[in-house]
Amino acid sequence: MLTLADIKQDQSIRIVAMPELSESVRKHLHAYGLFTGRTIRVLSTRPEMTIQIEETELALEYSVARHILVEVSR
Amino acid sequence: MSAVAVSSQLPVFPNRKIALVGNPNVGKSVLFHRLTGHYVVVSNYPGTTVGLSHGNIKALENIPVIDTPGIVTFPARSEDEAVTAQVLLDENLQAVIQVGDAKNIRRTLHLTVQLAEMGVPLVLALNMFDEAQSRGLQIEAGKLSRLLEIPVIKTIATRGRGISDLLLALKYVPASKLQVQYPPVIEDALAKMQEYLPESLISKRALSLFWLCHDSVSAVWLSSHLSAEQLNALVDLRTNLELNLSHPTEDIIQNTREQFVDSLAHQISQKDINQGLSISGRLGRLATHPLWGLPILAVVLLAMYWFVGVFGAGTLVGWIEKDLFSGIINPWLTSQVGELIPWPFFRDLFFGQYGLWTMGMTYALALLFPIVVTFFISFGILEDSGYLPRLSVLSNRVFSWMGLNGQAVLPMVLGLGCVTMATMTTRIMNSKRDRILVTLLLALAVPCSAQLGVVMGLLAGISFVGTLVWLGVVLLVMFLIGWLAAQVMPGERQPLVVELPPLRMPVVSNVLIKTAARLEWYVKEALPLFIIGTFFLFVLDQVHILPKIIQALEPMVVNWLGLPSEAATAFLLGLMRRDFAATGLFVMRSDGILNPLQMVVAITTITLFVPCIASMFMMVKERGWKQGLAMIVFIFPFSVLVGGLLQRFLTYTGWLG
Repeated sequence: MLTLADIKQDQSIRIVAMPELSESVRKHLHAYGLFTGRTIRVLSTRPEMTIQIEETELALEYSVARHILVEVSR
Repeated sequence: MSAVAVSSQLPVFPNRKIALVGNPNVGKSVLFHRLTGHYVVVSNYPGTTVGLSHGNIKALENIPVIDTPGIVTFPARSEDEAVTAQVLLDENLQAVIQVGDAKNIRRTLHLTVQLAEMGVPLVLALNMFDEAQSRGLQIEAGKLSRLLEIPVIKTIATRGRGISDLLLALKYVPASKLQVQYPPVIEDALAKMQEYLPESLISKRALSLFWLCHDSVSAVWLSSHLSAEQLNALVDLRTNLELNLSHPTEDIIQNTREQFVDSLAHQISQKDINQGLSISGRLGRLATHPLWGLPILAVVLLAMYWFVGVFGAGTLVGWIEKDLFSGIINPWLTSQVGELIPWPFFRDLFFGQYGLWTMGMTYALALLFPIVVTFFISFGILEDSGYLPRLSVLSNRVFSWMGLNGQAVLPMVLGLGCVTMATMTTRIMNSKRDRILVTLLLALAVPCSAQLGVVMGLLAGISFVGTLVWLGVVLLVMFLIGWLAAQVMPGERQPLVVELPPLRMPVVSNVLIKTAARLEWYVKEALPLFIIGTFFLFVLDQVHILPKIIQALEPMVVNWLGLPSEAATAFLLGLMRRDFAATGLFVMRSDGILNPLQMVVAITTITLFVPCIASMFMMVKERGWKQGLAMIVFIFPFSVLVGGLLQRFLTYTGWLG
């Protein structure tokens, strides 16, 4: 299964599921609109992952990105 | 629900209020300030509003307004969010203003839909409208207003735009009537629940949706308004529904809303074809770039060092402390006012060597105030420019070795200005575990501006190698203790998840207002601690115990640290007032009784010490007696231990001859 940590810069992907993330982290991600089904874009992959949800840039570290299952959007 | 004539002004009912509700970090507090004139400390960090702020709108018959903590979605999941949910359930509201981020329209509408379902009179303030426009996002507010049947007002709270429209809309806002259609099984359950539910300030439909999503705030409310029988019936209804569904009810409800929001967003907004990255966007990328980020960081730190370290701690302190206080105010007060006090005890209490004025106030106002002012100004600029979160991304790796995440960089950088203040700002850390770790590291390994002053002064007499030894030992101790403490401490490390707001030019007035609010904070919370610290020292001096403590310290200073006995005085007094330590050590250096090796040992020990007595009080104040004392009791022997070990190591290897 593809995770956010596998995605290259400038690719757009859709969030499939976020299992295994702790309640507090998931809540924090929801705060930025990172729900299942949302389409996001990867802006950069170093030093941490930076993604764009709507017009928000969000940086998250790899330990979180590895637990976000994604699919490459159509 | 009875129809309300939209054209007529709604009466302002007595005892009714207006509530500001919205996602975190969308500008609720700024709007609150615009509406009421009250200032709430605003920052780029979500979660700044803890608890409720109250105010009144003068332009609307002084109607009370409540500013609520940010909420993402219902049901509430944190204490803060629960506070917001409670307001909606308990307060008789004239209107709810949802403050929404215009550029993140889906996130905003997700909450709008839930608020509208509650049937409360709702106004949507689409805030930060300028940012949406500058990103090529077009939003048709009028169309959105018609689709949702609620007033939608474009605002730019930081510049006061749209406030008068908002005030006007508040006069005519009717109860919202929006209903999202859920799948039939859920609609059935919602219909059945109607007969059991009591009248409430929010719609029965919203209350039912809360119940199906296992909301705890409304459950408490329901249990106090329903009989045990009725509650059981509700529980059965919910359980039956869940047995018939293949997914959690909450997920289905959220997904239905999400689809509704998505179609809504498609109808009212469109994005211009990507115009490419703006200058600020490009600079933002560079700031977190693994390679280019570092020179940018160096420039930022150098500019800050110049402004705070050279201009604030040097030039300004020179004027205020030397020229104004030592030159004019203190001699005048001591001679004019001091002479009027017939009792020597009280004269000493205020104007003596350890006097509350001559030492405490002079220290807090003349020596620290200029440093704190310049520091807060530069911190405010960094904060408003959006650079700080990028700094936390850049430094995340380093802090992860200490069981922390990059957000710890904020209090640590603040600590370079004043550890006492920085200890207070650990409140912005998310978990208690992080607050404890950062407080410990601040006290142990982050030299404050006053300590840095001593270090810089002595560095002149030390070789470059000596400087590196000092820096190396302090960093080593910080990582070692950070790592060890993170292992021992219960609780998990919080991973870094941080929003990177666009880099923007800070607005001078905002920075100044912010600085003023923080200075008030400094005067109220930190300054008294300096006075208490001085009083403590005065008492020690009056009972003639200081020389005894110094005597008791001497063997340790001479035998273990290998320093001249005079250093004991400098160490102890330095704890009370940094510049005393500096002067003491400078005199010893110019007298030639400190060799380079001893200087390195002395500055390393001083850096590892708790910076000052005020910071000790602050640790106890923030962390409680037990934790505060435990840290202090650990740090003192530990810093002396490291100092002694360093002395032996340097002597043995023959470095620094």
